[in-house]
Amino acid sequence: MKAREIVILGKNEKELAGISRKFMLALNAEEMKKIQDYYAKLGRNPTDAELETFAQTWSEHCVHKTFRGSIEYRGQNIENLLKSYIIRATKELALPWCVHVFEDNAGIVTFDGEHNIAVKVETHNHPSALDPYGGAGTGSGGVFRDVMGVGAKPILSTDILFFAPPDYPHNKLPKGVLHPKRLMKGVVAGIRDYGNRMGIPTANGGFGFHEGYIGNPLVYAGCLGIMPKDRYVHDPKPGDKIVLAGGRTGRDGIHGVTFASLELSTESEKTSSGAVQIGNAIEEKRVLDGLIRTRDKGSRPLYSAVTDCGGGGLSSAVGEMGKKTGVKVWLEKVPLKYEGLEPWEIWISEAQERMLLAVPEENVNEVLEIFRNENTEATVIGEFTGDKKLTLIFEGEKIAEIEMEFLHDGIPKVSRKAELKFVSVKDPDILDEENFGDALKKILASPTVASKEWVIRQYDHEVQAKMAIKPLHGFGGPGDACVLRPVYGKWDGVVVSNGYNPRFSDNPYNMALSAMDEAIRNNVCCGGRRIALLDNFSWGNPEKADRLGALVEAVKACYDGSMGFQAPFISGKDSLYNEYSIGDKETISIPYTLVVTAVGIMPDVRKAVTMDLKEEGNPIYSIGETKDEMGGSHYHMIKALKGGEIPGVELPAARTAMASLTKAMDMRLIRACHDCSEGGLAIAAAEMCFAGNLGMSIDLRSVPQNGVKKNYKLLFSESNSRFIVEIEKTEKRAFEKIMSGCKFAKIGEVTGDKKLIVTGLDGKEIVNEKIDGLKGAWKSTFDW
Amino acid sequence: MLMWVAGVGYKDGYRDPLGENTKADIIGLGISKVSEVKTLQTYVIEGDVNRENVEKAGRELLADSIIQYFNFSAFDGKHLKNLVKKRGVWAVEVFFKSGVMDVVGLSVAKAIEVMGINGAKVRTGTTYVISGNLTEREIKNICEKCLANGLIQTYNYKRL
Repeated sequence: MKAREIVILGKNEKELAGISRKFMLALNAEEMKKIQDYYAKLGRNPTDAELETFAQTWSEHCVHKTFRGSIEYRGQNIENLLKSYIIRATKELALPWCVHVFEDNAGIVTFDGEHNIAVKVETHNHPSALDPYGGAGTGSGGVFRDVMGVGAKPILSTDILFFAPPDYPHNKLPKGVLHPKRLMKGVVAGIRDYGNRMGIPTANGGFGFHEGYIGNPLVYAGCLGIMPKDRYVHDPKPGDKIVLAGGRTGRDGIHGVTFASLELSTESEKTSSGAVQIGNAIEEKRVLDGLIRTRDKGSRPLYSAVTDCGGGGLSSAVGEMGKKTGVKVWLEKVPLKYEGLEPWEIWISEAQERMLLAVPEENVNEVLEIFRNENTEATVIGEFTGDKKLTLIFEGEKIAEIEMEFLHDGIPKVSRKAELKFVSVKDPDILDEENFGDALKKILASPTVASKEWVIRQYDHEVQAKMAIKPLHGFGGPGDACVLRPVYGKWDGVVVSNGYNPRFSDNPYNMALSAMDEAIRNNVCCGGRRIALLDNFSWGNPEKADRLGALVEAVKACYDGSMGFQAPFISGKDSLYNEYSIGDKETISIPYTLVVTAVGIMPDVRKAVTMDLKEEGNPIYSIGETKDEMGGSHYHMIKALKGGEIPGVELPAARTAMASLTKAMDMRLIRACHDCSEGGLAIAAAEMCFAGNLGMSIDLRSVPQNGVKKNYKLLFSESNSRFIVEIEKTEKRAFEKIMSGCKFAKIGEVTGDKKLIVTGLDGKEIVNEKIDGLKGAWKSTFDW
Repeated sequence: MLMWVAGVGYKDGYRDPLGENTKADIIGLGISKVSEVKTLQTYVIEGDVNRENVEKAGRELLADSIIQYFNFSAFDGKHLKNLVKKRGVWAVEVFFKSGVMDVVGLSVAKAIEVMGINGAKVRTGTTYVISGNLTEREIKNICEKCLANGLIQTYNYKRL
């Protein structure tokens, strides 16, 4: 089996599109034309391996065509969304602690002076929709390898998942779609098995539920790693050997990347079996151990560069690594699981658990020996040349030769039109209820808010013994962030949290700002500061102008938020085309979903704060202003209401409040702190009560607010940048002094009677609930 | 070439978490007359392996003899009757499709080799024993919605 020539010279546009479809390349007519022109100059046709290389390297998944393309939006021409907004903020902030951002597999920031932290969050949506267990497991495996791909050791896994509601009626389920409950169980099991078996704690994450995810569940897998600060290298030299370490190569996941750039349809289930991969966590653990040993053995790493084989397999990893030098690969040397693979299949296979190292010749034997000792295979499969070409050889025959420059820069820029479509509906402004006990319980039981203990208990969050603040606080309350103490013997901590709210997608700008605010305030709740952010967009088809317009708005918010909070983005990823077509007409797009992951640090984890109430008689304060912002709120959801303002963020005020709060925590004035997010002030208060097994009595008349005249709005508005804090009773004055520049007020106190009591605007009692009842509602939904 | 199938299930009096979970899922589908689901981890062993060695592998490697039992049979289409002793139940076996990586199967094959039994290839699956007076249509529905993902797995059921 050798390379096959694929005739593209002399073909017209329609025929070229046909070729792209026939070989599942997902290249559009313009791209095919560009390739045709390139080969016309060479005077030959491409081989199958060459075309496949273009398909992988130029896929949306690998180059982010939309983000790097040019977009016409409201009379403005935007070149490269990523550079114009997200990366621009990071550049303008120019913070000295950002070490490597937006350039390698993961973003790297400094930590304690001796170590750096590497973080990455990825999406693995399409594979998880088809095989939830395998898809989610390999999603975790992939993001762990991203962190390993900068030479860091994974110490935390974080997973944020979005599904349709788990009680979705079976008879309404579109054909070819797995039921959300089955998806959720499978995805959780996949993440659990991969993380637990590799010994990486999964201690942070989140869930979002919305009907819009019925055809496209979202699976975000994230990983945080740590490394000695002087052990980062990325400089392969001509003459260095390419070493492939880890699992063997099979037909796994062939065309996974190009598949990710297509919309799912009822046919996907049949045509995409190649896209499904099954992970082997134990193999990856062996590769990790080998890698860390090659990193730490000498005075500098034994390798000159390392990267992972992820989407696009060898083609992407080798192509990327050898971009500046040129590479030659002997494909027959790649160890195979079974015989019969064609050379191009070896080249693009997405078989899991493989890492690629560039190793100077004098170190090759030592590296191979280290991996052998870890009981995993490592093989020299090629070398870095210097001719700036990608050359593939199979059994002595040259099957591909492409100039690196054309491969990486030849891709035609997409130019797309975007338009803004704001759906603004007036606030329904309904009558107040007499008593809000039922509403409170309904929101507590709604799947996004409800207890995820069923999931948390399956994930091992203790392994590696680095967890200072775990996912459940007090008597099982929902923590805002997790705090790790990664270096034994030191108190320096890393704080990881996230934010998202797809219910705000009617206003994508505010949705994005809210996600950032939530991620950052969650981080601040536990004691985090000097926060770095990661952006992960999951969107509908960007070729549709309204979807793209929404994306532009969200990206603009990222710039504004990043500057406003002085929190740089250090890495990001996007998954577009999350639409599901039924037949020919209808397509379901997911709600616009931006997940922001925040990574903060704190000098002493002993000062970290949890959200459970601590002591009877302590005063309760509310920080930040409650506004008439009921759009996308959970209260509207349970009442089936539409309309209202989507919460925005007042950046300077938010930043001041958070900085003051951090100061108060460092002085140990704060006993408990929780942010108001889904369900607003009332839900935050209820959660603090049952987490502390104590009661709380609050008066809405004292809540800092702006023009809110209804009790239900004060209770359930989801305005951003708000916190509820419990203060040590002897420290009231000190706390008030620190917070003097912010909007805040004492709204009540901690009580011993295990009841949540709320007094309304007219002085009447509007909530009087036993905390056990509230907790019961909260725990009932996922009592699986 | 001989083909064997081995099944490992929980002894009476020990919990079968996968079975309990599966039962809850089936009830979640709206089929509430299911009364019990038991599971057997199932291994198809292919290669030049004799009866004694299959038994040895099962006893020493596959089953935990304190809480689990172990049955085996020739893999001949009638094996479900031998693996499952109960009658009046549906037995469903679910295996990975060929070409799908079976990580556990690979490890088991390696472990069998370490025991000194050479040349065995192993594929793993699960056998579900479902009690309750269910119709064939219901069983098919259960297979497709709960037990097997048609993309990567195949299933086969039999009334015993």
